[in-house]
Amino acid sequence: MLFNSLEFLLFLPTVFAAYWILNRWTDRPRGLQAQNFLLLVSSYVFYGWWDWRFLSLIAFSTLVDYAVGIQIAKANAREIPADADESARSRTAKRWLWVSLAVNLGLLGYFKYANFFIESWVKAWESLGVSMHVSTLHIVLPVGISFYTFQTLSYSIDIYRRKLNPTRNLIDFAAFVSFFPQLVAGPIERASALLPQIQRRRQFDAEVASSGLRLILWGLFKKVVIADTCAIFVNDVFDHHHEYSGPTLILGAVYFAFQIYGDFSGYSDIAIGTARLFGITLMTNFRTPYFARDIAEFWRRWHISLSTWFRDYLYIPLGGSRVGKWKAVRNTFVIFLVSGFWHGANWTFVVWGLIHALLFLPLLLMNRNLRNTGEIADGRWLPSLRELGGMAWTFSIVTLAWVFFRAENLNHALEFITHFGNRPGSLDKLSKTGAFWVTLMLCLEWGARVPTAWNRWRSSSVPMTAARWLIYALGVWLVMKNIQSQAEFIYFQF
Amino acid sequence: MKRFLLRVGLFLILMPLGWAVLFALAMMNSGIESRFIAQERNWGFVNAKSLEWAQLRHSTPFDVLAFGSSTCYSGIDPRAFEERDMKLFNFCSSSQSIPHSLPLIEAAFEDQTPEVLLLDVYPAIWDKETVSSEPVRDWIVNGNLWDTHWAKAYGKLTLASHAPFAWMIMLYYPFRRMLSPAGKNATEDPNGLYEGRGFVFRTFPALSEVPSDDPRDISMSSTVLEALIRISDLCESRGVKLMLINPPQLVEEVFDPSTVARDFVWIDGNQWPGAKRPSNFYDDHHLVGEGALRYSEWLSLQVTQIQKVP
Repeated sequence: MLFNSLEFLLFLPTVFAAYWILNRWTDRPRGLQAQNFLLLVSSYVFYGWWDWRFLSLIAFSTLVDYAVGIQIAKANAREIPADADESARSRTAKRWLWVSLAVNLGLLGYFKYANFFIESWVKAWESLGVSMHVSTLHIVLPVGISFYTFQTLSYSIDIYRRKLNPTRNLIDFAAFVSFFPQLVAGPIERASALLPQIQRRRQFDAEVASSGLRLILWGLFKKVVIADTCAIFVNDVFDHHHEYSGPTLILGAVYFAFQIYGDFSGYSDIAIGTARLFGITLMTNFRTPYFARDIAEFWRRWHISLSTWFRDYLYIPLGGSRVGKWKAVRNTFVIFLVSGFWHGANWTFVVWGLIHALLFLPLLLMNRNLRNTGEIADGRWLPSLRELGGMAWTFSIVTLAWVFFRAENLNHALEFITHFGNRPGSLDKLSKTGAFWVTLMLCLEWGARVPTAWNRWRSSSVPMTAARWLIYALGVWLVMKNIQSQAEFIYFQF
Repeated sequence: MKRFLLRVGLFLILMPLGWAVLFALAMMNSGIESRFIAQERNWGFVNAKSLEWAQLRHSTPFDVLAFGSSTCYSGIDPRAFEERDMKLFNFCSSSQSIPHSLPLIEAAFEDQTPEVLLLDVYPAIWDKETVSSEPVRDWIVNGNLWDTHWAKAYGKLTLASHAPFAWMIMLYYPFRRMLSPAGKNATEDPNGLYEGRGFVFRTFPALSEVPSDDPRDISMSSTVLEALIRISDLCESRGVKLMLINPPQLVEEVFDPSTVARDFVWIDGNQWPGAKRPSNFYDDHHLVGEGALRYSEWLSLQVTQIQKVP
């Protein structure tokens, strides 16, 4: 079920009403269980709406990690003395962790990467002059598999590291794995953050719920008004890049930068907003990434749940940046390449990751990767020239890298970028509507950064409330106006 | 919870007031209208044909009414029919499939009952189970017919399309059209000339060779079949002769007529001698203006001959 569909418009209020009605009995035995069971069933309906057959995959992954979690904890208790330090590990627990890794990464590998490896293998032999006749498999990629796989993995790893106790309640755990707002495209929640919220009684907070509705509206606006408007221009320019001048292609790449931001951050906002309606807090996934002053800051602001996942479960275990220069370089490449590969089984994503690694590396080697950690133009309306320059440079290189992300294959990307320079001319076309909405979004996000403006906006005075509601009404109108084709979210394919 | 539900309820009640402010601004400013409500357009000239029908429907009896998609509004030229003493009005519009035609036919029959109903059924849009919103918006935004029975037709189209925005603009355009007719703020169609009686003369350059396109095998969806049967029943009850037309295509869409195995009268446009001549087309299934006139001369002959059969 898509967030931008009529079905969801009916589904959400129905589940919301049933959920909070059940909440009345959550202080009684089994009351909370009933509410969590409702969450679980709703999540399975939400996912099954797309293809019910793949529910079995989620259920299988859930059962495996549920059992593995318990076994790891038992092994830890058996083999590690109570006074041992944090780094002590149990060998049996490690074996169980491998079971979880093998099952989850095996499923991910089969459904997402099997064809890619077969094709790459065949091509590699063909490049050596050996022709092979191997047919690829007809595999449908289950929506959201990369997201829920990482979520369940974090659970097993955290128990192995003794940072989390396993739950013995299967319904709670299954509800954590399949929690519908973030099931198919994140944010990728840690068990330590989401599971305790599912296990305890939720309290309805009108302010939180209202903020959830606002976030849903903002997310829908970013998806259906901004991303889908940009998509029309982007699809045309990328599909017919031979026909357009260099400036038009550059504009196509810029629009794609906003398309993917609107699409993915829009989804995250809707997910976070929806979760708030159920009294559950999800982590922030985007913090105005295009205002980043360098590439390191960009990665602290873009798809935060994934980048922190890789940081905690891959980069730091490899030694992070505290293991000497060469190992830090290696670790940087590993994390960015894996991140690229996570996005899809295509060399374009690997190159995209490689570009980011190459851009990040100089900052790391010069110890400048943590230079920009504060708020941009903190306490000021306008950025300094230096900040503006940093933002412009970062946006330019990120946009250039996005070409690889969007292109069908490496040749397509290289041709596209080559035409930037060797196809002089004026703009062949311009999506004025797209430019208008993108500018509006950037202005609003920039304004929201200044606390005084934000507080004034949230004032409860009657004129301000009326103005706010008028704008929300206009927002609903615009979303409905653009919500025609029910375009899927880009990140569903990952 | 009560406070939250109260606020949400109040917002939902007051939301149309916000929209009313937008409507008022849009009625005063075409830029706001085109950006926030909808952009009028001339593609298919629904504005001009609906205005012309509004003027002629009570004064000029038409022998033939035509409904269908773009292959029809730029393919069936009423001048060819007039040469055989038949008055034809072309109600076709972009992507108008059979389920779209049904409510429009019902409304047109309220205005007058013709002798023949031509239903141009381009097979490529037969297989859709859903009713697309594009033609619905086309008639609401560009239509100049807002009598009760036409508004009812748009309402039915809106419900069938499940497009929320089509429902919402139904709140705006009845009032908007009281102020000025559709067509004043429409974007130009540089390759179309409105020639009257609903016909659009296409000025695209003609093809010089048959384009490469894979023929598609298409079967009719249940939604389309149901609408077709209802149109047939309506025609029967009104004594109107229904004729289905498969428009000429350079690269033919392969379809199975047995899926619509009723006693329908079929005219296969691909039997027209010019059907495989690229110079009559501007793409693989749309006719240029001159090609449309030649095809319509042939078609009008077929219609006349079928009409003679008791």
